Amino acid sequence: MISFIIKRVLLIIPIMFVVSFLVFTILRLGPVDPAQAYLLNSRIPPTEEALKVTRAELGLDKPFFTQYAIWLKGAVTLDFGLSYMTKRDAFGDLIYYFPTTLKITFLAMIMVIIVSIPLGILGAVKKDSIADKIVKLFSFIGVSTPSFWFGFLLIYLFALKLNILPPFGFEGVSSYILPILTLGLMSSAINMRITRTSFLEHITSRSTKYLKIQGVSNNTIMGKYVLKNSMIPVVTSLGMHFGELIGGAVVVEVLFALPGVGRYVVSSIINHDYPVIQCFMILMTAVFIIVNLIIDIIYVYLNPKIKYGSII
Amino acid sequence: MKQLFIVLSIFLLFSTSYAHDEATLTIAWPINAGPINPHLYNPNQMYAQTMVYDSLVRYTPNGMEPSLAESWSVSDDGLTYTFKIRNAKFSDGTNVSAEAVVMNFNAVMQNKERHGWIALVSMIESFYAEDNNTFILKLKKPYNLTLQELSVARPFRILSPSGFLSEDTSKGIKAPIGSGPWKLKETKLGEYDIFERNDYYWGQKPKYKYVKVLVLPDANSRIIALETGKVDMLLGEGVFTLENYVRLSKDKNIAAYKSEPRITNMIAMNTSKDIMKDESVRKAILLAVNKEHIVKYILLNEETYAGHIFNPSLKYCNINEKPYEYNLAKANEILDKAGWKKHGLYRKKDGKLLSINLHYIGIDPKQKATAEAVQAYLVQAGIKLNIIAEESTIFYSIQANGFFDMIFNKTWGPPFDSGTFLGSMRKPAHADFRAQSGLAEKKQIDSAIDELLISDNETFIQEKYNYILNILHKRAVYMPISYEHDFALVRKDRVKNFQFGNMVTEFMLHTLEPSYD
Repeated sequence: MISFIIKRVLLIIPIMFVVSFLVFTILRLGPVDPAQAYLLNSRIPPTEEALKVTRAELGLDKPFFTQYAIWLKGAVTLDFGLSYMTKRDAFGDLIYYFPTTLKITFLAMIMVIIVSIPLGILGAVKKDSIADKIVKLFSFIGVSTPSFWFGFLLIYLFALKLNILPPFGFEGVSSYILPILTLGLMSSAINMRITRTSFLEHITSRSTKYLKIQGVSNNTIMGKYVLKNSMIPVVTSLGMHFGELIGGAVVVEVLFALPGVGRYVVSSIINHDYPVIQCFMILMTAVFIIVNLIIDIIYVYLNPKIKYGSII
Repeated sequence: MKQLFIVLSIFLLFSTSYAHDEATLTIAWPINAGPINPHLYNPNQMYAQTMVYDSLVRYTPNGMEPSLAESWSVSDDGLTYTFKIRNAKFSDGTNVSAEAVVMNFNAVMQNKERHGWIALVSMIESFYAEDNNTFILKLKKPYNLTLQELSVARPFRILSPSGFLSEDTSKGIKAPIGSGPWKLKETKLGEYDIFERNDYYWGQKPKYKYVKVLVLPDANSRIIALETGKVDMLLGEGVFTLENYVRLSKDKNIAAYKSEPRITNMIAMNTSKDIMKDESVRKAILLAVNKEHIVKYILLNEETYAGHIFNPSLKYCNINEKPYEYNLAKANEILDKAGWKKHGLYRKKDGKLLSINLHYIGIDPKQKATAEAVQAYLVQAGIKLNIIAEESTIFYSIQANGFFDMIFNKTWGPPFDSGTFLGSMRKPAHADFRAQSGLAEKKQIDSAIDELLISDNETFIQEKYNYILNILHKRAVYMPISYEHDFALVRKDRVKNFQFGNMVTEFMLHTLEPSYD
């Protein structure tokens, strides 16, 4: 197990290198000139002279591989360059904005776990009952509702009409409620379905029947065997939801004016702000690799039969 | 009792305080104000640059008025401008002087390539302080937009010498210290900027002690902020949609303001491209589109119908030409005469389909709806219009390279309309240059612009304007659609004395008063 973790950690380096090169290349394959984007954002007519000065200022006048080499040299020391638009350190800004995104993502993740797993189990245990139907309806609505629209409904009701929750910003604990509900709804609904299906599969499995025949109590079967086994796909899905929630945070951050990384990166994409996009992609690659590694380790805990040594 | 305490605690925890600080005006803007360097562009926001810094002179529709220069004179040859600098202080208490103005002009001219878009930069020969209060600006040749271009939001605004890090402000400034009505107090990235009243300001002192500018990137969030009282007013280009303006103008708690027309929205037609070279096609397009309906149903009557590329109320721009009014029968007649015959729905000539592309910015709902309407009108005349949504940077690239049949375009608003905008028509990077490049008279148009920009003879200037605007009108180069206004939504219970600035980016926050008393 230890050697598996070491190998996976070491693999991060070549993966990051490949990702960095791909991102750097793909960004420059587009038809858009970031120097022009900068000038337009500054409301300067993009004349040839203005473009020339701006390209030189942004380092875009150098050959591709020189640009990459300069960037890579800085990147290994966490110097990802200055944002074209804000003229601030891209890495520093992302680190500034990351805590807000991580905070709402983790809180939404907790909401997903607290809401989806118990309700999914309830639906499975009380299959075809009213409770199950309500769970199914909730997950159907949750999956079908776009988060920006749901967010607006929440703001309309709780901020505009009832005036009991703030419509945006951070004003204390109450400020987290609407963003987290907005962010967590869809993932809760999806995870609820996965939990229900997985739980049902194990309730009706042969091993469960044998346990019943052996006279093991229902609570022990459910708590010790069915729950633990049915959690493997749920944990996988939670890992994926983490990525989804970080992606979904963009909508929430814009809607609720939260100073998070999603909002910052989306505006950077719109503005063709390469240093920020490159830095973000590298950071997100690292985050995803680490989250997946943690998920793999949890698998082993849930099902000791899983061995990784042979895979690598 | 214990339960009551718990209920109260929960209520206090979850309820939000809407207490409003009377001395603070709260508005919203999509991004932070930036470092507020007066000589640089993004991320420095223009509204903030005009709040913190003064220019030498201030633009008004009726002419220039004093600002940091309390008076000025121009030599007979139009080459020397003498500015008398007023006895004023920067927000840190240091004195404004002609030497400070020289430092700022030096900083701007050290980066003249960066400011090449503003013609004045290439006209400046030299500048110096004659004495503590006299600043002399010498030009290479006369340029009659000198004062207008000195008044814009950037780069000719005056930073205190104590705000300089080095002579070259393009590398950054120490602090945004100006002589304007406000000074920057605090910035929280992604959340807000707070400006404080500059008690040394030489003009009308702001009534508010602070202005808090919340960073709200989403237009709907900004509207909700206004409706819930989180902000006191909204203003600025693109800060809210026209639909929300119309809706909230009916709200009894909100005062809705509309400025005089500022900018012309139009569609430029490329006279050098393919089918569009045919003047009869361009004229037919102008006659086939019912712009009155576009203004009424798409622009909700909140913009003004435009007959010409510049609002006739602008100086020199009232030409005696009748706008192209909607006349479908005449459009069809012109096309028939030009040999474009109907084959089914569309027209053809020598086997060539009358098919034209119109480019618009995909995320601009106004342009999209207008493009769709134009497409529907042109079908009636047998013209196939392909409307193409573009990413905004690509859109401007298409404009600059002339890769269009028809493309949306707009003027720059005051103080650039009409002189500076006309000047830009001579530069290939502009849609206007590309659109006009197929005209036989293009060289004469450019020469006329050259001549009028260096003349001080009013009659001569008017003649040149008449020539240029008449040719552009007769040759059907533009489809003017509407004169756009600025809008503001203000909470009546919070703010009074609202007025628009003279430029789109000039927010007159120092004239506002709290309306509690």
